Amino acid sequence: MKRARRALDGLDDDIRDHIESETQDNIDRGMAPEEARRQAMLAFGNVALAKEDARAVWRWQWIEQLVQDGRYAFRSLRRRPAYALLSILTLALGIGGTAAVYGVARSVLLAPLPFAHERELGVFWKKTDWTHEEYLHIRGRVPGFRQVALFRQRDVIVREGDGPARLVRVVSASAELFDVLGFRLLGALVEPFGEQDLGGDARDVAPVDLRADAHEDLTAALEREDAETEGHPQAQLALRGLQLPEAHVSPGPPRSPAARSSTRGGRAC
Amino acid sequence: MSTRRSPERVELLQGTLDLLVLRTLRFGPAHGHAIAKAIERGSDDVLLVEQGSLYPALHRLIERGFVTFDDGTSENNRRAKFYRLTPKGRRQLDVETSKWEALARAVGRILRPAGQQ
Repeated sequence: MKRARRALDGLDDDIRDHIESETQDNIDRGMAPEEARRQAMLAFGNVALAKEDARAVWRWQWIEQLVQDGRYAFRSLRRRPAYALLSILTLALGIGGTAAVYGVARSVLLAPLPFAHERELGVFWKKTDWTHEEYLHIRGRVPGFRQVALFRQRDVIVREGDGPARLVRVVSASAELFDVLGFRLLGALVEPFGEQDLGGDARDVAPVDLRADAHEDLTAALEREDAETEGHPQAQLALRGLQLPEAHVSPGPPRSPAARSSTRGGRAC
Repeated sequence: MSTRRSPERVELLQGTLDLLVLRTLRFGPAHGHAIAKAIERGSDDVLLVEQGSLYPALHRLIERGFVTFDDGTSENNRRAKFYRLTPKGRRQLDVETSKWEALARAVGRILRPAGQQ
């Protein structure tokens, strides 16, 4: 490419000099300067086309060189199959590793959470699980937060009628969770359960739909379980395709005074 | 290579310009206009070549390694490239000249069969 640059450098000067020399020759033969110039331009032809054709020569050379390099590389690799295999494996590992790291970095750092006001969401982090008493204590008393909710994720075994038992991810949540996350429920789902504990076993599961306000296409199959624990109703929700805020999203204090908040008591904290 | 198109003039066959440029440079380095004039004079004003096509031809020959160039100053005191033949170009000129002579003989034999001469 260096040779091409050097060859094309000064092409305009060359052509200008050519036309001036031809014009001078015509004047020397007795033509008037204007006519001499006109005839010189006629003899030269299309200046722009000449330049373009000259440049096109080097464009093809670049492509041919690329093809030649490719062929050479292919022949070299074919002569040394072990080296070729090692190179391909190294490249595959490198590309795969980079893609995996980028995938994680994207989901953790770049991709927004599928919630209506995800920038306002925060997670209260604590080394151990939040107890229900702690939640009741801080609810409504955290400055800068409009709302606080509590949720806990765990896996439970669910059986419908005489059907087979299934292991489903269950979210035990306070009724405020859906307001905090900005979800609009399309069916009757949760009765606010007040101040009772969130423990209890799964039972009587029925499917309902859940949709995010900010993501109309996001629906999650959601199963409801009403249970009685010590005489109090509670809701346990099994969610598929719904991503709840993880501890890494916003550990620590809220990011803005108007922030919503969810208080999380979970094993991942 | 002329400013006038007369009936006696013939347009250059496709691909022969490269050969004529190589042949012209055999006598020593020259810049673009000098090459054009040399071809014009060498053909006794018979060959009709658009001068602008000389520059793509020169770049083609540089790219193939038959011609190289040095920077210099023209009669108009402008920076100009002086083109010269490389050893590879000299060999190519011999090959192309032989091919051309063979072609000319073959075409001549068809146009003027032995019995008609």
